Amino acid sequence: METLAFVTTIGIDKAEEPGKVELTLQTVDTTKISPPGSGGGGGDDKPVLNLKKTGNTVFEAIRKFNYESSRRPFFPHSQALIYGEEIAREGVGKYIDFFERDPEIRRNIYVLVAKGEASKILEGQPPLEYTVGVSINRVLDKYSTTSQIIPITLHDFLGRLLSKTTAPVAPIVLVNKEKNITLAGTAVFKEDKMIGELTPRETRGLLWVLNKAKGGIITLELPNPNEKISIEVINSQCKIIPEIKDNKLKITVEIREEGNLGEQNTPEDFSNEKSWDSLNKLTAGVIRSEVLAAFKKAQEFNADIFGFGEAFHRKYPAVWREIEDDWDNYFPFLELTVKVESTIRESGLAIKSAMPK
Amino acid sequence: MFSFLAKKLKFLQLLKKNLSQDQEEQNKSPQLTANLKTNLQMIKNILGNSDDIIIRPFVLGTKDQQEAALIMIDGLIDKASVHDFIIKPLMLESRSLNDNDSLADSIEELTETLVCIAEVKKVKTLDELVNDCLKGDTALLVNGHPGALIINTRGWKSRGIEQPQTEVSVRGPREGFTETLRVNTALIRRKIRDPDLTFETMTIGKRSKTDVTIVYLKGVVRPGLVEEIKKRLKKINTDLILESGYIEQFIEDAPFSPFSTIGNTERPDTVAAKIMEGRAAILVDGTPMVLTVPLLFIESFQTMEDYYSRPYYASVVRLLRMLSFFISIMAPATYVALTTFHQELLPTPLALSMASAREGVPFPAFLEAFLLGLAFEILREAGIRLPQAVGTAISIVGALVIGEAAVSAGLVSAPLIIVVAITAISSFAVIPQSDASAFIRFILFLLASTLGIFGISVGLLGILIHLATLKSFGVPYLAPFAPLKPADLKDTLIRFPLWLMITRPSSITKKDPQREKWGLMPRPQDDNNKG
Repeated sequence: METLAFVTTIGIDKAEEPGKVELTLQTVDTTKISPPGSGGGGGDDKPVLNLKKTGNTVFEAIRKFNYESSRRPFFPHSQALIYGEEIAREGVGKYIDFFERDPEIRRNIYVLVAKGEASKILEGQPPLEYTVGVSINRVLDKYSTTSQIIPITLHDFLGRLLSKTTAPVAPIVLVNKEKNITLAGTAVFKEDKMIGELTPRETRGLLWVLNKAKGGIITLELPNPNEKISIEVINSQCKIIPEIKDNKLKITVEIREEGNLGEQNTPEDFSNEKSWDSLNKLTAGVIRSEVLAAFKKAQEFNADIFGFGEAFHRKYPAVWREIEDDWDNYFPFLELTVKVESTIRESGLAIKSAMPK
Repeated sequence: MFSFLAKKLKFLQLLKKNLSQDQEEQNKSPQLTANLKTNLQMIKNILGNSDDIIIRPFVLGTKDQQEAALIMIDGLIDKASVHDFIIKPLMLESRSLNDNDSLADSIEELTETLVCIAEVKKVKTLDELVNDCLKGDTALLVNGHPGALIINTRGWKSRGIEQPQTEVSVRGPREGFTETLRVNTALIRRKIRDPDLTFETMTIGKRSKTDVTIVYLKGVVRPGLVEEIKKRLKKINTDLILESGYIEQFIEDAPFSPFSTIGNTERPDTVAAKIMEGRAAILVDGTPMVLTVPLLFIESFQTMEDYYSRPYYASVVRLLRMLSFFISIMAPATYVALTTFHQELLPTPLALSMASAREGVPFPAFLEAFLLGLAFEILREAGIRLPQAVGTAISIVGALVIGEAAVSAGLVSAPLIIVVAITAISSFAVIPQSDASAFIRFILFLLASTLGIFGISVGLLGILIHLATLKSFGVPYLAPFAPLKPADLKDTLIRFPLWLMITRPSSITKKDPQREKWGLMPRPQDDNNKG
């Protein structure tokens, strides 16, 4: 155990030398963790150590760490694999093989794309945790509190990469001037190359369809722009129904959402069936627009991030053989119908707003 | 080389010859004669000039003034009863008898008239006489009569019935066996007042001549068990039996196994319960530890208190004992395996905090664990043997030095202290297997420090296979799990309510299988249905 350097985060960037890769590992410096009870210790220094190496391949770079580090980098505890934006746009395929092949890498580590360089992210100061990896890991684990970021594990990413039609996606991580790390938006890949981004709103549009939006806050837009209502999503179910009609490919997405009335800053009383129903309709409208926005972006990029291709594959295996290789020509012209059924269950501990009318 | 072996063999053969000669000599014991003087001389020749031997010649208070003598051993006899019920009637009260002839035509008649003690028998050989005297009996020889009367006057200072030291219970009887065989048999007899309860005694030990008693319940005991025990006991040809452990080591099924195949207990209630399940107990004079056979592995996790308290907590505690057995054999091995080979198996925060705790420890994990384990064993041994006052001092020093100083000096890591401590505590939770678990712990530890978790699995499998091969007096050690006896599972992992324990364990005995009636579940009548 004392011969190991525990890697928590792996950052991959393009090296300055052409054709080489630069690897940044964030390891925990166990000599700096003071055992609890020994008193004192600490200070502002976080017990982490970033190591940087370049090499022709990822594996070569990793082995080079042994020139300077007395401890072998140990990967099973790594939490996140971050690709720099530049290398992501160039294609991650070359630099993901090692992580697929090596037994020390867990399949459930998260894959992310950095805005800018990955090494800059690793220099960021995560709040409350001392390693970037653990921080990112915990943020992604509780993605459903907002449902506006998408957790993608190495396993998910590889699955999408290996699929002929489904496009890989990965959450985007960025660091601001105060060195704070935030997750915002989603990187969309075409094959192994990043081609664009989804906004947080569009990301939730994607999550509705992927059946992963199990929480989050929907803010309703009322006619009066000063009045706002927040609905807390508590569950959602999605059904994708592919259909081939008149030689046209159609997709119907049926979303059933359940939520609670979480907050209202209007004096209106919703405790009657009619206005309650209007809330349902408004919520459904927001969900619909989110899904459509995401779909529009996806068609723009011509990247099937929803996995609609696989849905056709399952339902029409015979027809699929003809479409499969030509999916790029079908996807931009796919017709999407979104049906949303929203049910607001409870209004919390209050029935009416306390706001005076 | 071969000649050397041949010599050894010859020596062994000689030994055998000597032994058989001994046995022949024993069989040819001289008969007691009718002449008192000759008899006394022979006895003196055998018993020598020991101070504690009392030979009391006297004259029977009858007309013909027959000479007689009492032989007894000081300290083993109850002096009061010898004085009041033997010497006094024989010397004084005999005078009041109106008998013209010699008082006794045979000495048995004395028992009818003058010896006022319940247990009297007649012996004819010198050896019998000496043996019985050495047990505390008094021998009466009368001139002119061949043979002697052996009068039971045993009575010596012995420890009273106290609470057993090794098996304390919160709820349940507080009495424990003592060193005196007769007291122990009485304790069992008081629990089971059944005419079928049988005690069979034999003497083992050429020189110690220790009484060994087999106890069983006729009609319930496993068929063939008593014969098998007797067969094995008869084979013991040694000169000294001090404790039941001697017997155990001479008759056990698997002498090389770390697991004991013979149970021992200090509690009469435990013995009574085991006898009722078809087992037999072996009592040895001079020790409070009673052996019970056959022993199943599961018995190590049962205590009498499980049956005295209500089944819920009793079952939980039983599961807890099994858990602590596994902890006690596996904890150090797992620690070493995880820290040296399988760091990826620990949750990340735990891995990091353990890594930081091991920072600066100068020994590899396995040496660290070995040294600390060794220190604990030394501490335990020292603590047990020392007088209580000093023992406390030792444990304070041990706790301070090992627990506090070793960690702050950076010689061992704090997590290991926890591991060793929990191992120690766990091993005390299953006392019957604590010997075995110490041995297995070490084996698994060695396997883990060379082969990691693979080694632990190999070790555990090996132990399981070994356990499955063991038998205790014909009963598979792992019964009722292997071979599976579903009906017997009522008293294994979970202790069923007493009213559901209908049958005796079938892996032990199939005789008189039903020990209680069906439908004994208490069902108090509803108040509404009354009247």
